Amino acid sequence: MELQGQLDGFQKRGLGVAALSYDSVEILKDFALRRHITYPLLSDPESKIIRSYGILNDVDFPKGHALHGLPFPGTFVTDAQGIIRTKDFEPTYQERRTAASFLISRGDAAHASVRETRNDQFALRTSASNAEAAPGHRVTLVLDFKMAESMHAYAPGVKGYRPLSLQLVENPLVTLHEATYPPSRPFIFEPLRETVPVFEGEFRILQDVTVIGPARGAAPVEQIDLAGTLLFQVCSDKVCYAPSSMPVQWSLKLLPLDRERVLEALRKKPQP
Amino acid sequence: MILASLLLVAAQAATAERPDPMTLGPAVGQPLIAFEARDQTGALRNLDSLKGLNGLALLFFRSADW
Repeated sequence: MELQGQLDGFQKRGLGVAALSYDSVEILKDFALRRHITYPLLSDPESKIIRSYGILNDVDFPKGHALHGLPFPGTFVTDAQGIIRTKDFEPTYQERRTAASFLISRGDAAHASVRETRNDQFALRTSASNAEAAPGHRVTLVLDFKMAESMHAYAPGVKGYRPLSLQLVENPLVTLHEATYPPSRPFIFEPLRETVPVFEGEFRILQDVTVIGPARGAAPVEQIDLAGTLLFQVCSDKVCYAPSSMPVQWSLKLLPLDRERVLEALRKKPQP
Repeated sequence: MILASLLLVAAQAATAERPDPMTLGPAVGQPLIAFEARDQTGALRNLDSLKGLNGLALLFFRSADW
């Protein structure tokens, strides 16, 4: 799983990692060997724990279905006291947020699809949580800004200036989620006696996308290119630049759906 | 025709009953529910033996084989 590659990031944050499924110990052992998984894979063969958590998926896999017993996939992250601090369950069972995307939501740097640009107003590093993703994966596109000394960019909600805004081009291979902007700060511009919301210093915009992949029967796709425009206007208390824009882009290698299975003899028998 | 209507009704019922998975299970601010389970080595694990210094990321995944 993609999680194995992100294990360091979790360990650096002092977070233990475990993944639970309804598979037998034998299936999990085989899976761990094939995929070189070192973190605990937990076996809940009768879905007792899944039921106790109230996350049994009996909508898609009702009683009698060969896959009855599967959970809605998702993640709980606790603090040191064991209290749940983050809960992440996607709307359908085919989707999940990647581990790298989770770590980015906690402030980690992103290392895929990196591009850097700089002008008089700011330095911008664009990156993505994952270099590759399969259909159903929710990944994060990242824009890390470092404003030039004494410069500020206008934040959403501003009147009379162009607010910072990421506008991604719709792409049939992905679903776009709402971009997340950091909290803005009020900037008081004395000469005009106005107070406006701005971004200053270093800040980050996050844009999640869920990979859909090509439609059934459509030609295979190896790479997803995501393009967009960044709209902005930057000023200091002395100079004010005209409203402007710049192109931004990311690329993501599209992985096929994972269909590799264990040996027939190890496979799970449907639950009654 | 009757069958088609029945299927349509069933499909609508299924759509209506689909829960938002975020509303299922323990909520943010609550503790994880304690359990014991065997890991891939056969060792019995519980929440205490799984957590790190700052907490635990517990994933529920579909299956290692499907």
